[in-house]
Amino acid sequence: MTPLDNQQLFLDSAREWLKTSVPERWRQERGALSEDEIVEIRHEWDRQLFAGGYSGLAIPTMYGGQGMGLREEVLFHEAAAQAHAPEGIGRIGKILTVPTLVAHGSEEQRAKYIPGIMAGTEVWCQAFSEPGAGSDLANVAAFARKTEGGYLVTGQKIWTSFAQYAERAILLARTSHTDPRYRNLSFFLLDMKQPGITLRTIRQISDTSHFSEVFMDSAFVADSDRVGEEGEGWNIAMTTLTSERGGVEAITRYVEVRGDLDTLMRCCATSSDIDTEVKQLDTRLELVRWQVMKALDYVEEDLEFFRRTCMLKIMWSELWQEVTQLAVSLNCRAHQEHWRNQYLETRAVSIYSGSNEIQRNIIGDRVLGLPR
Amino acid sequence: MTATMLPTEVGQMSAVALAEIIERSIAGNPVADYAEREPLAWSVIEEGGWDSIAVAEEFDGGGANLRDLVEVAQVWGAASIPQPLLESIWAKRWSAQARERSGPISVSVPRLGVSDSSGLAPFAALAATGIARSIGAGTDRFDVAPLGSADTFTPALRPSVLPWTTKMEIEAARELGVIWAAEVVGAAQKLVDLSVAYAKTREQFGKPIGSFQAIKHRLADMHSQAQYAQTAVIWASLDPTNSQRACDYAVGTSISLAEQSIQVHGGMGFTWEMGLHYYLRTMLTRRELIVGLWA
Ligand SMILES: Cc1cc2nc3c(=O)[nH]c(=O)nc-3n(C[C@H](O)[C@H](O)[C@H](O)COP(=O)(O)OP(=O)(O)OC[C@H]3O[C@@H](n4cnc5c(N)ncnc54)[C@H](O)[C@@H]3O)c2cc1C
Repeated sequence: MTPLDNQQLFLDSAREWLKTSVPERWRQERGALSEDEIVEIRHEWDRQLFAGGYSGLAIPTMYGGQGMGLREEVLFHEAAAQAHAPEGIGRIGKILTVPTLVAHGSEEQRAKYIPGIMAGTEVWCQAFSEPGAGSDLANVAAFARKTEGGYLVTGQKIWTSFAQYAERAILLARTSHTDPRYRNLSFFLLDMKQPGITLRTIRQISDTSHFSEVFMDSAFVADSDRVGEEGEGWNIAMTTLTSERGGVEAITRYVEVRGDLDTLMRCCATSSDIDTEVKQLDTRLELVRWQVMKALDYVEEDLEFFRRTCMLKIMWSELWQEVTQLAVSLNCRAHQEHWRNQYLETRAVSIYSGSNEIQRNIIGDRVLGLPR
Repeated sequence: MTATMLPTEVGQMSAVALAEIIERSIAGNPVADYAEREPLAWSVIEEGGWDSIAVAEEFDGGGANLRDLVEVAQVWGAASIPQPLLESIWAKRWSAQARERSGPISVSVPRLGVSDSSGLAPFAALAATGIARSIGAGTDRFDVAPLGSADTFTPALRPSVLPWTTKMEIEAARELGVIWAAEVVGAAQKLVDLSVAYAKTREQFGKPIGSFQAIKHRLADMHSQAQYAQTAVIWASLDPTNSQRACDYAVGTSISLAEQSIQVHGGMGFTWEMGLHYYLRTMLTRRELIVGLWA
């Protein structure tokens, strides 16, 4: 069998599995589900993926993954998009924690944490941003003070998505008052369910609350939960952020935008006046997928891979915003609530994971080598 | 065309005085503090004669014209006070029965994409709002709110869905569209001002974010777009044959400005408390209402 045959086999069985696994309620009445029901379905989906053998396709089997490649990951997400599958709530763990641990974690950390993420039993969040450290992430001020066997962390995080559901967080904190910028931070794996942690959920413009402020008051992190050495936090966080803005992330977003665009094309955008506009959006969305597939051939060469993936975050986010902008203007009564919500929600996609302004700066600096 | 594009004295003075009254009642508080309350009582509006500024002078009104109302509507839109002042001003300008009526007045506008004859009525969820059955179309009459089922998406407009729509004289409907578009433009200018102020004070990388060229250029573009949007509603008020497309342009541009203002505010812009969304929600619903008017 050729590799292509193998991929076809994989895809066929994935489609078959999706057909029977995607919850009917999600497929049919997604718009009518309550916030709690949505969270429950998304949580359950993580566990279904694991049971079905589709969790962590590109993660080595020794860590509970499937030991395949990024290509299978991409193929699966496409099939999931067509099947209108939900999106798991374990995305931070899978997309951010796992690649970071694979690249920089100790054997012990990988063995301890990756299986729970793969199985969908442990939800993770990303405690990076602070009120004074948004775009300027290196300005993180939360401080981890050395103590017997570990650190006591004090400070405030903000915009922490999934914090209210999370067992653990990847945390960026300062460990030195004297070392220079970029060398004064360390990367930790924080237990969110401990007394030193208080959450305050933030109400979003869409009137939901998916993120929180996280207050840490002498929260404990063991030495064994520090990733890398003290002072290496910034470099490690760069791995995390590159994953956050990279190909796998883009494909999961492709799934979501595909769902929205399909709704638009099937129901709301029936007027021929906007035919051309809708077709353009569709073309650009398919290009997100093709761009990822093109990049996959360069996955072993960091810079070449980055040249081909650095624009993905900008592509999908601005596209998604345009889709919802158009949709909300069409007065489709059947989907009014859906589009109002999606329109407001997607105002955030050009802000989070590093704003699009920052991403353009990165392309200019790192890819094009323009003078700073 | 050599005539001035400025509003008349009535328009200019009304706009300034109204801005002062608004400032006194909201006391510099952001929209999030008052959009869901009653920051300015209707009695204050009525006692000040604000709802009569565009009634013809022969009927003892202020005699403001449509260009003047564009000025007033921008002031009102910048504050986004949840009272149907603009609708009431307009109704009293067009209807003797409305002039005799005390209390706030609003209208019900056809909804697109429905097969029934229901309408969307701003402020119909507010107690005491009289919703016009017809305006400028013979014997006008009113039903008293609260009516219909409240649509909670737009807190500052308190709209409800009603089983019927207001019958309107065509020219009256055109004027209302221009007034609403001007209100939206006033809100957009406010968001530009807030964004500029934010960019001067919010620091990242040790500098105000307004010093980064990406933000500076965006704000420069936003200023230009807000100017165009304002020009469009002035044009709409002075040139009836082009009102519709000028208003559509103004509203579309304003919505884009609201989206961009969120971007400039970063994560803060995405919070309910920051309140930018109140304006954005109002703009979306006003667009729907205006499209309903033209339909
Ligand atoms: C829905 C949502 C979910 C999030 N989830 C998480 C999470 O789970 N974990 C986490 O750690 N963080 C999270 N964030 C935080 C997110 O990463 C930050 O909001 C983002 O980095 C921007 O920071 P800021 O909000 O402080 O905006 P600011 O940095 O204050 O930016 C304001 C504006 O200035 C621009 N700007 C700033 N610096 C520059 C520059 N040098 N050049 C050009 N323009 C510039 C920005 O692009 C933006 O338009 C989330 C945010 C949102 C909105």
